[in-house]
Amino acid sequence: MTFRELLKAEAIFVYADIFRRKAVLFTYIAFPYILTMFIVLIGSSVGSYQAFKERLGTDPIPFFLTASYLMMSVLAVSDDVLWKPIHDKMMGTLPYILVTHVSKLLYFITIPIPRLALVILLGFASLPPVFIFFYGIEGVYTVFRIVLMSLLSSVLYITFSILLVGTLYSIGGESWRILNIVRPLLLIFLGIYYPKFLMPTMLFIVSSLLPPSYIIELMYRSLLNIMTSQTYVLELMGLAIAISLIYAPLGSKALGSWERRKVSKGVEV
Amino acid sequence: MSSEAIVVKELRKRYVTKKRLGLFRSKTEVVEALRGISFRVRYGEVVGLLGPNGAGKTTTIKILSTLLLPDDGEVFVGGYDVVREANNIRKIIGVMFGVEKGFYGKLTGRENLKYFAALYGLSSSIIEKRVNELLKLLELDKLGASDKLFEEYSLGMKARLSLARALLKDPPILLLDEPTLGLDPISARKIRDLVRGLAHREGKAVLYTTHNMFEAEIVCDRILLINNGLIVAEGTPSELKSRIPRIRVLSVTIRATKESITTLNKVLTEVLNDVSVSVKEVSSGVYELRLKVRNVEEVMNEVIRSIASRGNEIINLKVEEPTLEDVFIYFTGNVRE
Repeated sequence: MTFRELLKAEAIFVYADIFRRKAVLFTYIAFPYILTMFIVLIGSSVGSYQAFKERLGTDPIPFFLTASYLMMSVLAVSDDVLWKPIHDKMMGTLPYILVTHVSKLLYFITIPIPRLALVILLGFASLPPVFIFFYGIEGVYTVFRIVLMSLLSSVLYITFSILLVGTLYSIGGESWRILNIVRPLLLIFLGIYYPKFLMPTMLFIVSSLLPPSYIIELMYRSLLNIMTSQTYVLELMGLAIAISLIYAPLGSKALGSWERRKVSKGVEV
Repeated sequence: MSSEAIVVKELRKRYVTKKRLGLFRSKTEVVEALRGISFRVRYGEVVGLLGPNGAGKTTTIKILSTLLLPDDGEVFVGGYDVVREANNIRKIIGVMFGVEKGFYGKLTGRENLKYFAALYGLSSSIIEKRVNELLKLLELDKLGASDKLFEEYSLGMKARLSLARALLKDPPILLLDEPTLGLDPISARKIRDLVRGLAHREGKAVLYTTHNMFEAEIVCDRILLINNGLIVAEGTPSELKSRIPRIRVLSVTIRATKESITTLNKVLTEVLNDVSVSVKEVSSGVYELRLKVRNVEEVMNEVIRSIASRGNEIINLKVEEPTLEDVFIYFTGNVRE
């Protein structure tokens, strides 16, 4: 019951911001294309479009469009979860949120869902034209796979983001600076722009702690036409889900620790 | 249910702050925000926490609303301990910390209330009804503010919305920190009337902090005067006034020349014992004499005789009773502007 109400509330909060600011809505639709355009333009000026195709066995445009879309959906989760306490502190809403008796874990789980839902839906609008152009009607099937995989990887990212927000803000307080350092690192560790299976060992180990990295790996294997057994696919998915579930109670503890720290110092009102 | 909504015993809170002495140097300072305060608030009454800036009002409200841990002492809200049973307290309190901030600018008043209603655990079927009731109660619908973005709200509208949020759960205990600060008289009166009504008609317990003496006098059934982290006086407004020395002000407005007013001032100071006299020119040839006296009846005749015998015309004469502000100044030692 509470989850549904919280979700509705977050939906009002997120959609009011997006739909009342047309520039934000436009950015949502255009973002994967804009990013792909930049990457391809910069890539073509310093490297070779053809060399990319020969080395990776796929066209850079759908590859980077997928990567950008994936990044957007994953960022929808981590950004919202990490950003909300900072925003609430700025708006003066934080004391009114901390003073609720509703489970903070439940509240934080609902935070990224509305934006994620929008991003996932926008994928059906922004991805098909390009994929149909490159792969014909087969491209529609690929889009479905990408959207579903993006959804799965993002959902599995929620508990980790909660653990991260609880831990980081317990240690250093709610700060944009922390967010700015953590965001790019997460993108590297997730293997969005650098496939996980090509990572050096240390990076691979850190990446393996992030549940979405398994799904993202599967997605790239599929995009790059790397043969993957069904058992391996199920193993990776199982691992991702298991790790994500383990992070839920840890995240709850981390949020508790953040809240205790706030209360012991006094919540700014 | 006990008749006592809030019980505070020997509450203490210390803050450790860093005083910057330069770019790299700082000194740790300990500030005692609360130095062992004790009080009780019953259901059905408004208790005012009145004190100057930094007296400890907000610290007290924060502790009671479970947003700050006390260092020492016992605090029970609705029978629950603030340290061990914070979550139970959160279910039964409504809070308001100032009026300026605390909502999302891109949401309308109605949307903001719905958001917080969900966050406070209200179910969908209740949310719509409760939000509409509150928008009506606070007259936000009448002001056309219900569906206006919060960022477009006036301060008065913000205050009303803030009180509406505090009432979302229909809590039996309200903790209101300066709810009328900076408001226009109409909005301030609306809030004050509502708060009194909530306590007296609905039996809610209200703890209300303010600097405003006038407001404290008309809203609060009892007042706790807090200064430097200590409660220096407690009682109803009339009890508090009766506790300060019975010095009243005899104010006489007269028409006189400058010379005769100087003489009159001198004579009155000499003739009347233990009386302080001050003179203010109200307009050309019109002066106000203010005499601070212990027994007005004793000096009244002498004052009138002295004025009349010098050919001065008395325009107005009145006796001013001590105000809550005088009580505040007496107990806190703060000087009136």
